[in-house]
Amino acid sequence: MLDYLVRFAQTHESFRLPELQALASLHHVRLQIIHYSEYFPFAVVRLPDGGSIANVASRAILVQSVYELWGEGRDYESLHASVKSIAVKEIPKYRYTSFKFTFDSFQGSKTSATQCQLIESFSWLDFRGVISMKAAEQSFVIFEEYPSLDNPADTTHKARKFGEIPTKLYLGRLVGLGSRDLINKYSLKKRSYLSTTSMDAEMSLVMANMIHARPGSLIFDPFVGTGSLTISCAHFGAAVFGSDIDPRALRGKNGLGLKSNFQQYETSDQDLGSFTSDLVNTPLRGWSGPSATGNSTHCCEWLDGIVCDPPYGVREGLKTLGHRNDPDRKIHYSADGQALHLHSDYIAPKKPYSFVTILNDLLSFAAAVLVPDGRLSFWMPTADDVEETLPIPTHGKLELIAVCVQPFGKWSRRLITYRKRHSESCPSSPQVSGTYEAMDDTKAVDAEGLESLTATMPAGTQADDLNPFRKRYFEGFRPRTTKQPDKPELSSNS
Amino acid sequence: MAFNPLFLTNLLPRIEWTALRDAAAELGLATLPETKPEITLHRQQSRRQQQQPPSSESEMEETDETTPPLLPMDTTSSNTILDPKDEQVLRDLHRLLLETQVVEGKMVCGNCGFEYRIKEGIANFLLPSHLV
Repeated sequence: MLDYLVRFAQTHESFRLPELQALASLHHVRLQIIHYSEYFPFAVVRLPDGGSIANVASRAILVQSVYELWGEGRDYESLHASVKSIAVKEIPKYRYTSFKFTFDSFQGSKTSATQCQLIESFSWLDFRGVISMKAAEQSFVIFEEYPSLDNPADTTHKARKFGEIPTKLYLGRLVGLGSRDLINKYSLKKRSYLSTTSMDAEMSLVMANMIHARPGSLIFDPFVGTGSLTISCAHFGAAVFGSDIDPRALRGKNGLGLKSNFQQYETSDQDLGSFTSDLVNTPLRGWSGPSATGNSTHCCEWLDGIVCDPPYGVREGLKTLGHRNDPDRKIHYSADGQALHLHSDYIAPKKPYSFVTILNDLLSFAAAVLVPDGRLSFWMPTADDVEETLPIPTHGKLELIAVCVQPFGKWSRRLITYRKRHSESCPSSPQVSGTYEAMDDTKAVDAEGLESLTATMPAGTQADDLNPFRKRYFEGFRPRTTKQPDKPELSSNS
Repeated sequence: MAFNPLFLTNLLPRIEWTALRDAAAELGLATLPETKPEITLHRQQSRRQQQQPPSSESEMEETDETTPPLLPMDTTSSNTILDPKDEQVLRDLHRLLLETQVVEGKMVCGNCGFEYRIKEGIANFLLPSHLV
């Protein structure tokens, strides 16, 4: 069986493999990575148990196309030799089909005359079909990988002139395409209802893939806002709903709101609606009911996926219900003696909340309501230059699957994805080896991780005290001379 | 939402049936059977073999037995077989869960009596500070 070449987009490098692997597991296909480098868009993968790479890649956002790998080599001589040994049985299958040959060079190029010459050198394949550049049944691509200028480990480009001699060559037969066209379809530039925190189309579509949004599944976003994430999930056929602490975001105005966004993409059928709620006091929960085994304390789990971009207090304030200066929790009355909260236009007070705490709440919520193998994926910001980077939160019932990083200069955000464990493999024994291969540096630490997280939980009532990332953001991520993490020395400026 | 048997059969085991019946009765919509029906969706044999590679097929067959059915990627209402009696239950469920919406009203907590308002189809679950 031949290996496959995956032609990634050269962007969001740390998301590319996790997305492909998430889609492989969605299609129940085992995928092995034979060769991959973040500096190049070409990866070689193997499906040891069979399956269709075209199916796996078909909804991938970070994959441009996938190819059956006919050969590889350091130079054209070894590429020809490789094709002769690997693909010899394949060649006769395409003897009489229409075909074309094209080039895909990365970090370098050749003149079209040279390209023609190199394509001609494959005439020994003896294809007798019509050559058609527009409507070929079979498309063959010669891939050229030139030394990467970004890769510090690769010094070959110093010895050679940039873009002159490729260091790696592949020949592939096109078998499938990814879904990069969706980025344009869902582009925020064309969306009618937006806010400052709407997630860009590319990342929200990748998230839909990470959590296996698919026909028949039920997906929830507890910080839904203008719906950028649930819209992507609905595209892949999931039924979606969301909640937000701010009802104004859900309603919108002038006829534009969450609902009109689904109408724009003709996925209103997938939209189950939304409600106003705070994740900390959410009305959603797992319920106890009779189980098949007669165990009366069986807890029913009912969500297939949770996807969200929690507010981290920079562009959107991080709030929970409650009164900042009201430890006694008194009922508030208006002048005429009526309790304020009984008024029909009452707006419940909110107070700043800690980002670390909300992540804990999110994980506990996911652990309670996700079905086994259900997935949780959310964003977490981090300042790149500080030691006090937030640890990745962990939960005994959730297996960490992937951590992807999107850098923004002085800070970055991480997309973290978990899979709900099956109940027999949790939660009492923390050392569970799931059937999935967790990434090496991210083996779940369970109980220990929870403790360390609790220890770093900030205390206070001001947004800056509760949320170190917010504080560092508004300080401009300036390096600190002394370690005084709790003194808001710049508060006079803010 | 269009009638979607796949979604409904996946949802069915997750529903707290008594609570749903009670809520439906309060809204004057009492069409649900007394006990929760068990409905499984069968996919047409021929299509299944065409579309699934042999290895993953056997895997799906096995897991179907023990756990809630895996969600297939390619199942739509057009290629599923559904008992007519089951279909009626699913259609009733579809009508109640997906086509019924309270636009203006309130929900009253059975425990503490707190009233949660629904405005423009959006329920408000926010609590005043003395209750959080």
